[in-house]
Amino acid sequence: MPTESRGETVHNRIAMLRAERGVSRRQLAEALGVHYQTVGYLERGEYSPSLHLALRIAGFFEVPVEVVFSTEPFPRIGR
Amino acid sequence: MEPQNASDQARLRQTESPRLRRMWGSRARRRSSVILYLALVLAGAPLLSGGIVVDVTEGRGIAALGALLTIFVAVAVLSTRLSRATRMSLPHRLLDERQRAERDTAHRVAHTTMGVLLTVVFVGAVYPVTFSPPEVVFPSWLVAPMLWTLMMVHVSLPACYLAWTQPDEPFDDEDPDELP
Repeated sequence: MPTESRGETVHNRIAMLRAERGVSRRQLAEALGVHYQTVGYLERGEYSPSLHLALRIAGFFEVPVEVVFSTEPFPRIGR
Repeated sequence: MEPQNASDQARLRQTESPRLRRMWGSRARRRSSVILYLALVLAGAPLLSGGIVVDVTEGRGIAALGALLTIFVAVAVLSTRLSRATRMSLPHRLLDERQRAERDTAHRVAHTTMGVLLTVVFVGAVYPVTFSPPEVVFPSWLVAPMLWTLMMVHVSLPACYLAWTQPDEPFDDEDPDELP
């Protein structure tokens, strides 16, 4: 989901990674020290995280940050 | 955003209760509450201009005083609810980075808006009196309604801004009552 702030669009794959790992919003939020709604807003593209939070999200999923966030739309998987 | 003490925990429990979040999660509901709040504030203003205290001591105006007290209570209740709905009731330390950013924006917008409002009131009220003949005076019946409106707008503007602009809240996927 993209987040647009001052004309800068940031896309993320948090929802996909979370579903793939079977992690609930609340579990992810507790691990990151944020409100579960913040995870929801991130997934809906209605909030763009700080660099610190973005790095912690990537760290939680144990992937490089560019796997989770991108300035370009992520390619769709499947049809 | 970890609660530091029992008081913090109680505040968080109160503000984050699933029932409260379900009630205020909808932007449409929050917006209708903002409209009701502003309507009540505006309805209270003319009642304050009528010299109710004098009327009551003379045995009149009981109904007006009752209406004014009802509006005071309704405004206080609604203001408290809007604060809880938008988490303005929580201290800064209990918010995460998104909530802090939203609150900061709300305070900035409210501060700018109040600056504009106060300038308009200053120019509208003081300028004509200062630069007019001595017999032109500021109407005293306008003071109480003006102060009431400015005070209530100032007190609740950040919460009203957040209630109006925040999108529908995401559901809690661990709460069975909230699953879509």
